[in-house]
Amino acid sequence: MKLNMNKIKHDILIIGDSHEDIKTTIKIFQNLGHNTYTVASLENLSEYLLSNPPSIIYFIVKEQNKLFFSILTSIDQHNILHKIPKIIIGSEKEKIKKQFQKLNIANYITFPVNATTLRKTNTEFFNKNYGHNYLFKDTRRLKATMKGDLVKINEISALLLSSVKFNNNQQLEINSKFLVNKLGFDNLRIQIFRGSRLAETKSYYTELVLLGLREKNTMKIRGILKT
Amino acid sequence: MKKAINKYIITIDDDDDFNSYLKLLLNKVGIRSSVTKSPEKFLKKLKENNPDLCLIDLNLDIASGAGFQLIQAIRKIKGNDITIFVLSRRSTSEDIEKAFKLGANDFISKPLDDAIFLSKIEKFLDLRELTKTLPLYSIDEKDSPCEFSLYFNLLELTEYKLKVKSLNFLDIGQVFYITGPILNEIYGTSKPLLFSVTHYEKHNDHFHLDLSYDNSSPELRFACRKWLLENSTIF
Repeated sequence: MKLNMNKIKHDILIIGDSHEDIKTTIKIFQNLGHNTYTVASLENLSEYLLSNPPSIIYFIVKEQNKLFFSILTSIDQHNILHKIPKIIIGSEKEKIKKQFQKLNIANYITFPVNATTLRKTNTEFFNKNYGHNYLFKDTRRLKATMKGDLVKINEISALLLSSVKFNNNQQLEINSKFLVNKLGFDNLRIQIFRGSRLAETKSYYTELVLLGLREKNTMKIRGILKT
Repeated sequence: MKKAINKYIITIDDDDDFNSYLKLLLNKVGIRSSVTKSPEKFLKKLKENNPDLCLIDLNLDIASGAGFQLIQAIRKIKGNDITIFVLSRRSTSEDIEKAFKLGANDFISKPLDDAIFLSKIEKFLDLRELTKTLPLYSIDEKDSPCEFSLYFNLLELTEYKLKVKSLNFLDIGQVFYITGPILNEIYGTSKPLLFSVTHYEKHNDHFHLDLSYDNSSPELRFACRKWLLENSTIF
């Protein structure tokens, strides 16, 4: 079982008033290995952002400063969307720059931009801000399903070979066709009393003590052992 | 008799012959014991002493199934520090399940098999070489595959990983499926999700594991980011 762990790709949304610059920016970010998105229309932008929230939004503002100022203001006032980081690529005019910088933006860079500038801006931002995070204060249990092999058995215990190095004393839920179908264990409880020991690289032997066995179960184990 | 072991066991059974046999067997391996026939005497011994293990028969003279009440009484008086074995001829699935539910640590069917009985005591009381170890036999390769469950506590979520607390060690690169109501809430799917260990930190008696998921699915990425936007503070 292999997992496709790509290097971290960001979902970058590029919005603006210059098709040419949007196209160029998309190409640059795609070449850097990121996922890029744009919107055909600025109508229903909030709904789009809520259902497809990007890692970051780049606003390319060439001429329509008022329109984008108003869009950014409304995003800033939204109780959820204001948390999406935004970078503006805009005019070098100080007045316009200052106006945008009053808003909740991560950075403001000026035209012209090239691959080097965009890579540097993006990397700097994500190096400092590793996305949103949430710390769980209450207990949220997760259940992992692992694979292993029951390699040995006797009347009170079995030996599990797996990639987990167990610590002492805990109960274990196990699903084994051998124990259920061949030995007819229906009330089986399993307890680990001693920590695992290394079997080979990255695999461990763990002794499982079988609890609640009836006489007929013990007889079946003995029967199997004899054969 | 073997050299005395610093362990003490109290038993209750209404069969005199069985009591004598048990006493002899425990004495033979060096374990001190008090055998009783009535719940009153049993409870008196329990309160006066700090036994390591209690052996309870389910059917006693006073009532069938009286042993179940004794399990509850032991847990009430001594808490979870003491080990309780049920030793009984009564061993339906319901009896076993009920005994475990009330707090028994193990259920051993009568007639007693000395080797099994002593091996269990050895495991639970952490004694070494009390009896000759029962040999282990190999299971045929085709029968050996199994699945087991591990539980983690979720500590932290970011767009790219989960940080979990695990009692057990899992090395970097291990891949497995995870489920849990909180994952359904975050990723918007009730399907098990595949995660891989990318980093671990050892703490006193547990580990912190970083688990990353296959980030090639935009649905999962967007769902997770949406959950974080709704629940996290600004970064």
